Amino acid sequence: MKLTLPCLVRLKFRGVAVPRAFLAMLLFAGLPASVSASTAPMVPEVAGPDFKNRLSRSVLKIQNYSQDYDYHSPWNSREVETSYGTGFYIGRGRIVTNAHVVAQSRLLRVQKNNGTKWFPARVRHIAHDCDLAIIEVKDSSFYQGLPVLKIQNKLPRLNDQVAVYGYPVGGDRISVTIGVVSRIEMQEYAHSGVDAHLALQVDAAINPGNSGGPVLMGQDVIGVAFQSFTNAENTGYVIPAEVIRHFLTDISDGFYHGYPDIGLTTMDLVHDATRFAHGLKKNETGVAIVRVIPGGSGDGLLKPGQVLLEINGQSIANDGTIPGRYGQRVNYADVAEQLQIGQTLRLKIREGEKVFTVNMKLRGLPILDFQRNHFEKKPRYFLRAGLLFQPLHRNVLQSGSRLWGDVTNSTHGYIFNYFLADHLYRNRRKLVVLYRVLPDPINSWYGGLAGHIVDTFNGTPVRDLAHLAELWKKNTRPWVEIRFFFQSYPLVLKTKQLAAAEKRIRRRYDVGRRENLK
Amino acid sequence: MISNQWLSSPPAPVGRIRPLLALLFFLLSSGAISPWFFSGSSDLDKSLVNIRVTTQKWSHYRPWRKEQDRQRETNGIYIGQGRVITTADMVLHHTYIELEKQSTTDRFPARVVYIDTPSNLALLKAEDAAFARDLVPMKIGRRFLKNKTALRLARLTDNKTLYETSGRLVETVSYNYPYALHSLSAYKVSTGIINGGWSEVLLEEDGDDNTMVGLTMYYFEKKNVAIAIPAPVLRLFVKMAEKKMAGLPFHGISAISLRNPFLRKFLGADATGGGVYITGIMRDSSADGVLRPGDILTEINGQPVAYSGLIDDELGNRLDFTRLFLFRGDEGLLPGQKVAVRLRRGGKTKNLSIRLRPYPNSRLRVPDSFYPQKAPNFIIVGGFVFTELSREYLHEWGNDWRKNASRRLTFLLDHFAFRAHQAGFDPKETSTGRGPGKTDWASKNRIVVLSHVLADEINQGIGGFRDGVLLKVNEKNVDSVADIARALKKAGNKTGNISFELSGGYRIYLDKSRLKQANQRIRKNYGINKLRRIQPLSGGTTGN
Repeated sequence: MKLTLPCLVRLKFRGVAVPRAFLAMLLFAGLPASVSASTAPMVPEVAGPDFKNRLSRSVLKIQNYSQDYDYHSPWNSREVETSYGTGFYIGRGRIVTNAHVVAQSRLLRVQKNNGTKWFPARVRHIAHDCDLAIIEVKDSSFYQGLPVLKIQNKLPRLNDQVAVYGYPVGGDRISVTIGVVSRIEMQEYAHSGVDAHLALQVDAAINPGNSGGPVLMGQDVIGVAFQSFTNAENTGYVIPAEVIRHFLTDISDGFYHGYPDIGLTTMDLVHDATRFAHGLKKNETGVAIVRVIPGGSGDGLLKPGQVLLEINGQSIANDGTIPGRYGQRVNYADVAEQLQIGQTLRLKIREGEKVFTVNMKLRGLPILDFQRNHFEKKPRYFLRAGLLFQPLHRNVLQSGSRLWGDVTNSTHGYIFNYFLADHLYRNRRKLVVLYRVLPDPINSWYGGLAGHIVDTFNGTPVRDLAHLAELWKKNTRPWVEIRFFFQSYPLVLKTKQLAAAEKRIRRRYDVGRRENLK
Repeated sequence: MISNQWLSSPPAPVGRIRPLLALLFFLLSSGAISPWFFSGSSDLDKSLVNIRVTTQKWSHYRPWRKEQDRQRETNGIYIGQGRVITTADMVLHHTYIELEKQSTTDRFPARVVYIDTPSNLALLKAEDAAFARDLVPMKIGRRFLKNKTALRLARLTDNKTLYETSGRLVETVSYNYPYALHSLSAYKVSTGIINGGWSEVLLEEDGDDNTMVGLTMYYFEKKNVAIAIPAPVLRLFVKMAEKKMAGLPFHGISAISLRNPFLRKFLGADATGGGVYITGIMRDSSADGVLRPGDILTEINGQPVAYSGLIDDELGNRLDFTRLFLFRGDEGLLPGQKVAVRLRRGGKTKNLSIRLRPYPNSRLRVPDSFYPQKAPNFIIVGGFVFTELSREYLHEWGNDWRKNASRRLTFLLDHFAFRAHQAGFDPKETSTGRGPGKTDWASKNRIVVLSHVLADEINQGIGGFRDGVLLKVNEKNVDSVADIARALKKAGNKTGNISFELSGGYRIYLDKSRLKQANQRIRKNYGINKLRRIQPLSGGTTGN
């Protein structure tokens, strides 16, 4: 299964934000004539007779000049890219769109439907875990006469007819496509790479540029178009209203905290012998706790081997499902999806012969942050003696094919995939990698250590990047000795020679700042 | 003469030969080349034989069965006493072998009498002693050759005529033989058209037709370079075979170069004088008990080892220092012989002696292809297929196995395949070398993998496990497939559950009272001939 990552059009995903080059290509292909012939949209019945005059005015075109970070030389930044997406007005100066439409923004502009002017805008809130953002236009005159789109409270049902509004590829003007709700299910949200939430699948066309656009049923917004699936036809995905509401509730205190996570890995107990071995009685059902994720909601409260019987009063079936809110059974973790960090879940637990209830306060899952795509945060790094150290996380791994794709180095893949399963966090919650070596006489023998994970600095285990920097700066010994996981020889430098090398390397490679530890 | 015979000959056997012959035919008829064919005046064709091999590998994913059988053809050289020498990779996994020779169209069934995978060599004998009667034995040269020596390469073609090309020895190198842990000396021979490159005999251009100076084992088509096994390695192999020894000596040393002057000083080596830093010693290898991690090895048999780890041989070649654990000049060393070493340890110089031992196969935690004819150990319990992790098992993911196989398993292969004393690997000091995890992989003899689950009603609901590592059965540590069998036997089959603890914290259970019946059902349903194969860990003979 591969979901398309809308903002990664450059990586050949079928994305939903349109880079300018893509549009140019279409123009060269001689499409405009046929496209303009079809841009006068039929007014869909579902949108009501006045849609053309009123609601479509609130569907806005967004232009984003974005700039990614360069993890190869983190003191530099990369080229500016232009992409387009859609947003819609929900009142009080707030425009809803996808996080991936406005991510890494350097300049953001919004244009009204049929408008002639681009208005500068800024990102107010951005939620990468559920791919939503709120942006605002500085010029208040922009909002005059903009009708407010209402977000519906209820989930739609299967086969309900919906219309997708936006500015996808194929022309400049607003576009509408119509379809039905084909499926309602938890889906992977491709933007962050790890998160999954409820999503609606629709058979209306969702194309590059549709991202962030409203999906309407009648007069109301039932969701935000955000991604599509490349391996099948007519499978567009929509962030449902309840996820939008969750986001809006979360930011009501002016800050986005993120989704809570149940913080447990559990195993289905469909298999009879395994279920009874976990102490379940004849008519009891539930799922077994395999791992309690450190720092997560269950840390210090629950133990592996215990069985979850009920969640907030709902009995959990042996396959881990509970009756869903939309007629389909849903994974029990869906209950946490309705709640915010800090709220409490009630769990009924069996441990051997004992049955008891615990109240579990919900938290996020910071330990897995290194597996997420990172946005907005400047790369953290520490460069000394031509040795570039960075924290090990997804962006760093993906930026250097040497680290991520290198088939001869199984260590990163193992650490990434089995960090929780094999308790690889036990000694180190955070890992530091020697990303690369900028060649200089001082380090000329150590190119082979690039890509390896730091274990100790002068004998002290390195906790994280800041710790490494602290140890380096406080070092008074004549030698610097760095050891790496699974390397039987150390990296050794003479402290006396460091100062001269620093100047030489910065000049040679035009390094701006030597570190960013924030 | 050639072309007529070739046109009237029966269809060529399966293998790589045929397209190449077609190419040759095309080249001959187009006048593109005119190789030099011997006919009549030499006995060279009476020393060469054709080998027709049928091979069949064990499946490691479905360890109860073998893979499809395949056929191929290669060249062999008669070396007297009924013995034919060829490369081991050609006869690995053989099920049936036939020999053919120049004087008759008959085929002679044959067997492998000795095989050594590290040196990639094998000796074959025809069942019928009459096969060798009109063959002319070839001698094996005594010396390593000088670079730039002009050479001839010869083989017997499909229609049993001699095919010969010329070549030149461009370089003598330390080369990683396909099944060797360590590098051995090899020749790089530049040559034009070569017939596949497998097991062709190497002769000196102006030498006699009766002395082989090497045997090709690989050919890089794009570079026009053949890799050949030098005669002294062939001699060493034949000597081992005659003494029925278990295999080539293996030093068991891993070391790093000390070219880096900082590291040299930091690790306590002398500022001049050479030497390599020893980082690991494989258990039960030759060096075990003599050398230690942290030693600086400076001389072997009186020959200095440079900081780079290279030594200069008598012919002016730069070769890996490990060569001195296999050769003294042109003379090969056998297990049991001694090698003198000089080293620096704790600031003092020591002179010690290493008694050579063969490669400690049984000490591998993740077995390699070093004795690939061994069938994999496995046991099927309630549809759970357990087997021992090996390189062959990972190769079941195809050419891209490093990308496609479980990263946990490739990680274990990369870092825990050997049992060794290793520098910086002491868990009490730091976690260096062990990684940050929970499972103490280093304490395991073998890694037992839950390969996959054969669906049956007894495992409904737990059939999704793949490629997990089995850690415990009934709370007992599992170090081999035999441990599972032992735990099951002890558990009996009355009532209650058998518990399996997998990596990642998963615990699954099977109902003992239903197990026997389920096993029979699974065996019948999936057409499995047996539910277990358990051979001792020390297996892995090289002399079958």
